[in-house]
Amino acid sequence: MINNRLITNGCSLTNYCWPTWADYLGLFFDYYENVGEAGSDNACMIRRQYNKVKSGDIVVVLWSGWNRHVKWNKKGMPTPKNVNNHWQYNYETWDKNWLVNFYDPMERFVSSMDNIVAIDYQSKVIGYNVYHFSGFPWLLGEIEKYPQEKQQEVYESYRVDNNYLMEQNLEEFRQTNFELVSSTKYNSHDIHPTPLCHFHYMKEVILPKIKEIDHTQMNQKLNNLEKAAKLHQQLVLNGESDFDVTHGYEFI
Amino acid sequence: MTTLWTGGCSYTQYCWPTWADYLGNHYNTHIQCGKSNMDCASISRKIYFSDIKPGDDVVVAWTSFDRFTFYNDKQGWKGGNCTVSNKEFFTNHYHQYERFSAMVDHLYLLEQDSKAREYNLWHFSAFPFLLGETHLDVHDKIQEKFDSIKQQFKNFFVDKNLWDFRETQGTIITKHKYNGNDNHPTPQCHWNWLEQIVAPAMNINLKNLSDKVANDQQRVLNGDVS
Repeated sequence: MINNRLITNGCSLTNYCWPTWADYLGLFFDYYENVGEAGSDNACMIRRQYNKVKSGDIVVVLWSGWNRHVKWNKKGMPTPKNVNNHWQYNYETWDKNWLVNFYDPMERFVSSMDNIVAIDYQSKVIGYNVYHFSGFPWLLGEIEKYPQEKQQEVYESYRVDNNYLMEQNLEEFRQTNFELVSSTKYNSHDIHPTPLCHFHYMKEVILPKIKEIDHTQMNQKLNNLEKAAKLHQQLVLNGESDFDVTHGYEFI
Repeated sequence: MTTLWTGGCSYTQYCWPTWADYLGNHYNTHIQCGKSNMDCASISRKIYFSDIKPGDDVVVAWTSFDRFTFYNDKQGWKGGNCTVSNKEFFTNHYHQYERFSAMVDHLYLLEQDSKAREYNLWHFSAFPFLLGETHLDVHDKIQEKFDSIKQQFKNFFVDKNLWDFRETQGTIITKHKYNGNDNHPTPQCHWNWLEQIVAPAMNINLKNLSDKVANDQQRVLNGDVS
């Protein structure tokens, strides 16, 4: 086990009603906390993280689509926190009036880059290691078909360490390897990555980048975890949800 | 003294001298990063992407949190056009707590940047910090957030803002080639704010620029702007 604390952050691709890459990665650490939240835009994500991190922590962020802009309700708080209502929480992103009249791709993109660089700076000031991955094709997010003019140039102007945003994102990984539709009590047509997809994304994309992990000692644990992930996959395909990542793992 | 970098909106860089220009007289080099119409995101980006050296002084007069910027090819992604007056935007897509939180994100980004790059950063505010340009009452969540974050900033002097200061001095409306009804603070107001608010906070002894300020003030009152 790794002595450092692991903090993970993201949207529903990180914290969901079944185990995600974050939960599987967390099993390698003595302490693991997932501050990801379904429906989050990238701004909401950094605000949840600011006061959670300490010197020596390892933080892994799976940034969400930069196109998102979370609507705040009249009470001044984002609407529901749980997966049950995360579409409502995030509905501004898909609001037609917003998209047609006010959504500005470059405004959204640079805002997310600002969020990322703020976390990068905080990590250097406080003294923790943060790794950046992307849930969606980084220059496209969830909406765009083509990058904006100068977007690549803007992206490259930001200096961020441990930057894996342009490497394989979870959505493309899902489409390539695990394009499944599941049905749960929350969503009858759910295209979120299933547990086995999350496990392999953690194993093949995220884990090799984490410098603090001794990769020579991981094979047995990964084999056991894969068995648990297959069990979790079967549960999800049978319509189950809300079970813990350790479900079945303790018996392996 | 070292190099001074100033950031802000039209209350920092305008068609007549502002507090930033007068403060710049006290440094070997003054680089003005302020620009009319900027929102807080654009202000922080302008500073963040500047080649600031360790030991430099950076002073920002943050603009109102309620601005929201759209970008265009002409002004580029570091500038942009902000909206504070689009009714449809404000009715359907705006929430002051979201905007205030976004502003705090940018203050925090620069605060971290100042520590990482070892420059000295001071925060001031052009408008009432918790009200912005459009609100009459402070939202409960904004007050709560402000109370929870203010200790995280080292040189944080956002309470005596330039907008309110101008009103205590007696607002003067000027007329010139850009604007026939301009209520921006005049040079004398900028100097007074610098002298009474900014310089004491920075522990700077100002030179006597009274003749220059008086001359600048008279030119503005005569409609003579650059």
